[in-house]
Amino acid sequence: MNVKKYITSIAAAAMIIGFAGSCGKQLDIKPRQNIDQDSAIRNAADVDLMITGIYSIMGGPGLYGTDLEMLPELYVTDKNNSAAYCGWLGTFNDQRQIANKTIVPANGNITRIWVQAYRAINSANIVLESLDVVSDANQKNAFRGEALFLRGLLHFELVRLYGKQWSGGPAGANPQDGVPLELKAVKSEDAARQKLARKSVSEVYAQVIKDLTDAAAAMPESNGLRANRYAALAILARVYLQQGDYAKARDAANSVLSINRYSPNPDVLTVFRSRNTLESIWELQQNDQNNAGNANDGLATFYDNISNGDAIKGRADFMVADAFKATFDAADLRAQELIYTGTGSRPGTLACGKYTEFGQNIPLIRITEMYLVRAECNLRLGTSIGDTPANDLDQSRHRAGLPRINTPTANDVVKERVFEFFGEGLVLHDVKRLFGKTYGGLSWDDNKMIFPVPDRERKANSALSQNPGYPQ
Amino acid sequence: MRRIYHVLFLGLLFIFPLSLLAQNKMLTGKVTDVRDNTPLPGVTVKVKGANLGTVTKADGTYQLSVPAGAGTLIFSFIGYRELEVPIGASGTVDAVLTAGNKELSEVVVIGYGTQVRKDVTGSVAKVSAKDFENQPMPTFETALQGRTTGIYMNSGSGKLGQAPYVRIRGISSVNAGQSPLYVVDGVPIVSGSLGSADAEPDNPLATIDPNEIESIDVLKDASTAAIYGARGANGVILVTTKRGKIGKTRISLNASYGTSKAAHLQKFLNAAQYRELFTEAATNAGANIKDEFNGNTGTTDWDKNYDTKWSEAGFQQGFYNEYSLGISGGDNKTRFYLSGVYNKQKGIIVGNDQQRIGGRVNLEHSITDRIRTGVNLNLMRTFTNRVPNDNAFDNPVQLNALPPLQPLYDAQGRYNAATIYYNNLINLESGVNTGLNYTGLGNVYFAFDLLPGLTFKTDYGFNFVSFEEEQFSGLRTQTGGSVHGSGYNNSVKSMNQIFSNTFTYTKKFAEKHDITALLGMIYDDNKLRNNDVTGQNFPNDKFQKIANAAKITGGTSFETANANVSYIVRANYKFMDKYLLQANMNVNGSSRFGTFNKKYKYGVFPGVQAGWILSEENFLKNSEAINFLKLRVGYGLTGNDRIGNFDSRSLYGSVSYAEAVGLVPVRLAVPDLRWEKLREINVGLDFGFLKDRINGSVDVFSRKTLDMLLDVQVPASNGYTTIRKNLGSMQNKGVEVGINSKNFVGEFKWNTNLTLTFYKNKVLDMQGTSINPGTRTLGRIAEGEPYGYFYGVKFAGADPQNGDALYYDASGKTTNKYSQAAEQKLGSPHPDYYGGFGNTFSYKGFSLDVQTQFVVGNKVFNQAGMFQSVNADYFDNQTIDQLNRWRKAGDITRVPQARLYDGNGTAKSDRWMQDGSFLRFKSVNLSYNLPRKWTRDMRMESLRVYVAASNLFTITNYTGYDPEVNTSYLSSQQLGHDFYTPPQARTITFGLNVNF
Repeated sequence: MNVKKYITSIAAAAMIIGFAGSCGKQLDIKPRQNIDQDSAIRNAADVDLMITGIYSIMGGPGLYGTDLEMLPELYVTDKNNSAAYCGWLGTFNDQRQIANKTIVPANGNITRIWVQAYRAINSANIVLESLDVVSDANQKNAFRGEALFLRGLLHFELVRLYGKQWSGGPAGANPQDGVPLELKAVKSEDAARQKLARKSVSEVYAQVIKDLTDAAAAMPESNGLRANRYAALAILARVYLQQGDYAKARDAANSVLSINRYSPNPDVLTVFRSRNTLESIWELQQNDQNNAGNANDGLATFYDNISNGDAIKGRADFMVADAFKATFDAADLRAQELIYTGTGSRPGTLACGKYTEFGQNIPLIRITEMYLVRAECNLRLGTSIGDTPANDLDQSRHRAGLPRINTPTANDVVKERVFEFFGEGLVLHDVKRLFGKTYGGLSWDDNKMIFPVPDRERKANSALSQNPGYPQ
Repeated sequence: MRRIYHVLFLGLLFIFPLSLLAQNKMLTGKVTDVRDNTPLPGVTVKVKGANLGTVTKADGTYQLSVPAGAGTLIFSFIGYRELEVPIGASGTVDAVLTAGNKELSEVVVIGYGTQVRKDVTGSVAKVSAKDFENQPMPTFETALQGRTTGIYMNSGSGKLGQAPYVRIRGISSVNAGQSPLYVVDGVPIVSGSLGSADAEPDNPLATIDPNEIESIDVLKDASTAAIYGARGANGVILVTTKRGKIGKTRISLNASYGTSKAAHLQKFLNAAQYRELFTEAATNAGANIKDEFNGNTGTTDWDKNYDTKWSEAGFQQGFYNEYSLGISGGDNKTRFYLSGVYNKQKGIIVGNDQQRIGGRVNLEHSITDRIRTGVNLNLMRTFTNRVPNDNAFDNPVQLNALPPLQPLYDAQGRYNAATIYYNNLINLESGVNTGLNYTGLGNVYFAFDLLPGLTFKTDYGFNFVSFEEEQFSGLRTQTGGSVHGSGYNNSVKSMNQIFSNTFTYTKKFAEKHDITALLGMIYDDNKLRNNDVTGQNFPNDKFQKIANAAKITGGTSFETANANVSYIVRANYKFMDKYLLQANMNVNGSSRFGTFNKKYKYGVFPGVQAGWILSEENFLKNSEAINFLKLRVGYGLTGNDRIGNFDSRSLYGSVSYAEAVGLVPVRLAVPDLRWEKLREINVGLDFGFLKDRINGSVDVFSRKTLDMLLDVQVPASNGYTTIRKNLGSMQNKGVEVGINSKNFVGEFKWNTNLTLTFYKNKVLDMQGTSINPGTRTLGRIAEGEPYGYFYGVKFAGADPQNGDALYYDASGKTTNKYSQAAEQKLGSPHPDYYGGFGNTFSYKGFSLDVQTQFVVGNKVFNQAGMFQSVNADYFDNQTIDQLNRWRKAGDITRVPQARLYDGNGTAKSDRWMQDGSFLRFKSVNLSYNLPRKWTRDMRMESLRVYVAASNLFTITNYTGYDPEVNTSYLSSQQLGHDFYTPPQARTITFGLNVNF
């Protein structure tokens, strides 16, 4: 018997058996950069992280990072190479469809707004159902308010893009299809496969108003760089205005204005060139590392038409029509400073100068909007709650270098909103709420003036109806 | 499972001492070839019924000490019939070997073992070095194309190192991986792209040097592939590298040089045609073309006189250059194979080139008669100047969209930047897009002959890949311009390791019973990690390193891992050399499953096979016409675990919001996620007729995928777009025919081979859900239809009355309202059949090998048609056929009236779907071996000169660049889509091959 060989083989066998025994453990590999659902939300700090996560989704190009600001501008215009307002010279087909009103339900941008908005809404619902882990009652209430605010806001964005415009005044019936209301967190397969039908526009508005009202009551007055109570009130003013509920819109705007915290910057540029100035009630935060994009997405990417020596900045896809610039008063500083002749990708074409840096913040609600809401509502109601319409209107006009209008009409205010907010996604909704016509002459309730329900969504959810005018 | 192992090793401990038997008789002898009496080195000489043996030396002689009781010696050698010779009293045993049927005696690799072709009961395809040597190939798998049955291969495009699309026996999964498992010398290798840069995906397989491959074996059916358990469902491609052989040292030198160009280019409008068509389009739309053109481009080019051939600007003439060296030899103790290669190629697409340099050492050493050790080691460096993906504006093929009215150069002589789409030639001036791959691949093993017939082998193998991506976009580039120069570096490391321990036992009882058994345990894992960094704001284009960037705007890292444990067993039984039986099983555990329930962690994958060699039966034994006939049947179950490493978990991930950090749900998992299974029955017939002048086999298979790992589309309004579930089933049925014939066998030789594969894929059950086409794609997956069938609106040409684009509605009538058109089945991207037809002629020193490849009956959708063949809807240059647009009432044409911006016929439809059938002269090789008497004077063994051509020409009706197309930027669901995908290269090389 060869003892040496015997020992060697025992050693080898022992080694291998030992190895085999440890293999069960080797199969237990956990992810290193994500965490399991069960351990994700355990305390108040985790809930706080979840809320920041919602802002991050909203900052993506599918929501406020690009689409919710820019697409309404392209939608309200006449055609891609606009002769009247702003337009789309870019080669991307999805945006061109929107400018030309040739939208198909598979349109990528229309799909991603839907997907991203509901993704954010689900996160808000998860927060609302995770509040038990927060022990501090004030903090809990604040988190609750913020989640309700975000949920209400996004349902509002969806209903006014995918559902027909509210009509008939505050008491209007509005049974037309809105969007599905998601009010429960989705944590299981069954929940993820549920097929929610579209609620009527009136039901969606009712829920939006409830969420925002509750939010305004629960949210803190200050909330760092995230939205606070006044952001909720300001959005509420927008919602009421969209319904033609001038009294409530006026009161909501007035309650933001009356705290005297926010004020218009002395000049028209600052709000776009500096971060979180006094004029902004709420801004989307971006920086060089984290933004909506600098190549194929992002507002600066599409708006910029700038050259810097050899380097060309921006795609210059978003253009401003010469005729639109001509509608400004010659003295209007906004036409001089926020519209420029491009030197970049499309030299000679006019461009909108509001978004020029990839990492700049995007103001989502500015105090000038509240002044104009209050002015318009007061004029329509014949009241002067808060201040006179003339004073309120003058807030944005004065700093733009324009003379005061002593006896303004509601129409003056509506026009002022175009000059003040072009490029920011408000004009489309004004045309609709005032039952007007787009720059291309389409009526506010034309079938072409609401987005189709995305094709992928209808194929995944048989309960969804399609909007009139699109393949059913 | 662990218990099995314990038992095994207890057994091992007993076996060791038993194996020490006495030996006491010395035999000598010489082995020669019956044809010319030349000595045969390397012949295995074994004592029958004992584990004793040796191999013959260079002069054909051997020496072997045998026990006193030994009765018979067995002589075996590849390509020769095995011979048994009784041991006489003299102490000398000579043997004369007869060359056997080459096809039947070829050795087939079946995973953790080999079999002689004659005994194979499963379905295994094989190509050997001689089939593809000296042929310029984009990647080594190209060798399988046309030469094997059941393996569908689409080269994808003409980008250097492009990963081909390889599917074995149809498509067996929807959302889990569909490509086969690649194993080199027992080591599973990384086959998918590692990089994340915005470029054509890298292909780690392109780093394998075809020169060092001895054979490629493909396990096709589930009963054979089941030994690879959960990774066998898509088939297994086993690569065996060259080994040293006993005998004198052989040196083989090869040099080749050649050129390449795009096999075919698409035709576009010239300036005059462009002006004519677009002027008409604007007029019809009530617009002024000059204003629109100049306004949209931001130029005054409409007023100038340029006529630029943009469609040709993205292509160049390429070249191919390779030097390779192989040295092999060895003696009874040590065998070796050494090789080195230097390969340099310039692609047919501007900016694309690749350089590969590396080598291999394969060593085998017999420590004692019973203990062998070996090492196979390969190191390779591959450097590529890469091409962007098809969907990028940077893709040089997309230059064909630029209007001919716009100049190539600007006033300063630089590439013109004022074009409607980005002039990506600017990237060549001030851009960098490279990939550098270092691959180390190898294994070390020890094999112990424990008892006669019983061998224990322990093997450690690894595949380490380091991949570094570097990109720089200069100030004038599209990507870099906006941010004053942009740079990206990414470093990826992937490590696969495998540790396998196997026992094999072979024994023949009572002259009639042959037994082979395999028992083993295998552990393997993969770790993947990367780090990347993005920088912006560079001083100028001379500074291109991240170190020069003023702003670091991005940086991230990624890490993931998975592990597998397999317990394998296989037993083969052969009775009277005519009845064959095989059973095998793999009990496979994976880290990817069983998060919530441990019982889903392991899967059991068995296979059984039976064979009957009818030609050994008395009723056929003496047949003149039929000299070989074997019927075989196999049934097996394999698995598919090719999903994300952590897909069985519900995960939350971190996100950034400016400087803040947040948390978002990433995926929602179902608790009972488990293996996807594939069940297959295979029936085959192997035959040899007319003294082996006609050889071949026919296989019929039926595969069914069950418990598919499906990404079920859910309403996005619930917060998620998909949920991965085991749901549904799919089947692939098919027939494979492979025939080789020796038409002439004299001095003039002519061999023919034909391969033919038919398969039908059908999705059986998805519980009513479907996966639908995207915005610009047609591929859909739905019950009752083939995977990825084309689904959408059917185009009906131009309305003869008014030139409107017409579509078919649900009732089959035409409508000019796209919204009223009906979505319907449009066609299938799957071929009716595919295969190859090859002929080899040789006469004296000349040899001509012509291998073709054909695919018949599939449809191709050219997505780019939505931009380039839309009767001047936007400013993209149009394909020449758009001149046939409708112009006046009564015109009958497929091209609607030209209307700028009007979207007349631009919506997605089958307007751009075409028949993708083709016949391609895939490889042609003409060579001349100098006569022996000349080479002997030059002290050479042989000298060969050759001309080799790849893709010499193609016969097709497809009007795009290349019918063999598969754009890589889309998901695997979208088969047969073309999107500015470059055609393949036609490469012609001249070479010289010398052996010493």
